[in-house]
Amino acid sequence: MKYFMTGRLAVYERMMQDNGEKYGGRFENDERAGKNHAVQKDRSAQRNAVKAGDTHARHQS
Amino acid sequence: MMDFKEFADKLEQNLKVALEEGPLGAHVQRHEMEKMQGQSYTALTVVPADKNIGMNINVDAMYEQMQYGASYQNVLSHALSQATAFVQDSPQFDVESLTDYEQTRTKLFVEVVGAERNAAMLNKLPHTQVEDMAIVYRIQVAEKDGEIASTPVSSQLMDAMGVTAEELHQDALANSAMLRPAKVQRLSELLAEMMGVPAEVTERSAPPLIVVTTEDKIKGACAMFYPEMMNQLAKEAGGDFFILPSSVHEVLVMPDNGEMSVEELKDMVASINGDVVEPVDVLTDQVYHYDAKERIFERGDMFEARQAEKERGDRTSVLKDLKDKQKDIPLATKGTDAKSKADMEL
Repeated sequence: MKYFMTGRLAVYERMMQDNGEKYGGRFENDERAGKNHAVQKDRSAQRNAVKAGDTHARHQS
Repeated sequence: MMDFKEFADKLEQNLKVALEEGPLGAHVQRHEMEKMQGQSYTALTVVPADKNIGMNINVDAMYEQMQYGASYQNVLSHALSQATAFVQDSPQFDVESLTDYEQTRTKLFVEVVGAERNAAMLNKLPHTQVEDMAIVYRIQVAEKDGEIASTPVSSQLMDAMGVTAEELHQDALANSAMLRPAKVQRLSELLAEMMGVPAEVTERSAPPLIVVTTEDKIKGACAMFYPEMMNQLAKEAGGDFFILPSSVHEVLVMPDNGEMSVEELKDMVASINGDVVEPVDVLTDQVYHYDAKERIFERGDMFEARQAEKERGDRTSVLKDLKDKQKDIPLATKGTDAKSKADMEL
């Protein structure tokens, strides 16, 4: 019984999570959307840093 | 392999020989057990000689065990041990006391099921329909190790108790809230609790979902109808909310912040019901809405239709106001088509 309940509720949680992302964090108090945004910014900064480093390395060679 | 009829005949015969003709002297009778949620089955009812309460052996379930590879001897021995244990230690129960409403009302509780899929059974049971759900009534007859044995209130029993459907409904709801208290909790917290992990580990849905069930989490969806529950949930959700009928055991409350349409939510419920929820646990494929200001609980599509109607009404009345103003100040609309102007402004 407990196993089934956990299973179906986890699916609802996951689907609502996906919807939260679909709506681009327009929900109020959307901590997850905020977190995702921060992660994306982080990744983008890292990508730029790698790219800059790569360019710098090429200039050096 | 035996077909179902051969199996049921043989099992009945063997149980009769062992239980009726043996030292236990119990009575065995076969009948069709009608149950909610498509769970009807052929039963062999075993009644101890000196008792008026019996136990049902589910013949369909036993036959299924054989289809999964169990031998007939194993199935028979399992049925016999169940029956013997019951005959030797069956609870004492005074069936006559059920009709004494003063006693029975303290043992009443409610359950909620989908009205459409249980239509045949509901014909025989007093119930209260709320949208496409039905609230049915049960009486707790015994409790052992936290497990409850109960019997449904039939129309016949309700008449014998000398109570009206309305009285039964009010008393059962109020008593249910005491007998099987509601549990209202954030979904992420409940999942963490059930999985035995810290709350930070479980996902946090957006918007946050709230679970409404009973403390034992069994057939607890009915807790949404407990007295004052809707208003309590409106406070928790911060206003209007949707109810997603995740199962007969619990429902989910989602604040209505206008982001998701009823259609999207309904699709989600139907797809999870179809893919994940056991048929015996399905409540409905609908979505419900509670209007905290108007105190209206209704189906999601009805809510949307009411909102659309309200908006049309508002628009008509604004249009009427504009027209009235234009009549009062003819110079202001001189040289223009009053109607099209009013329409454009809207």
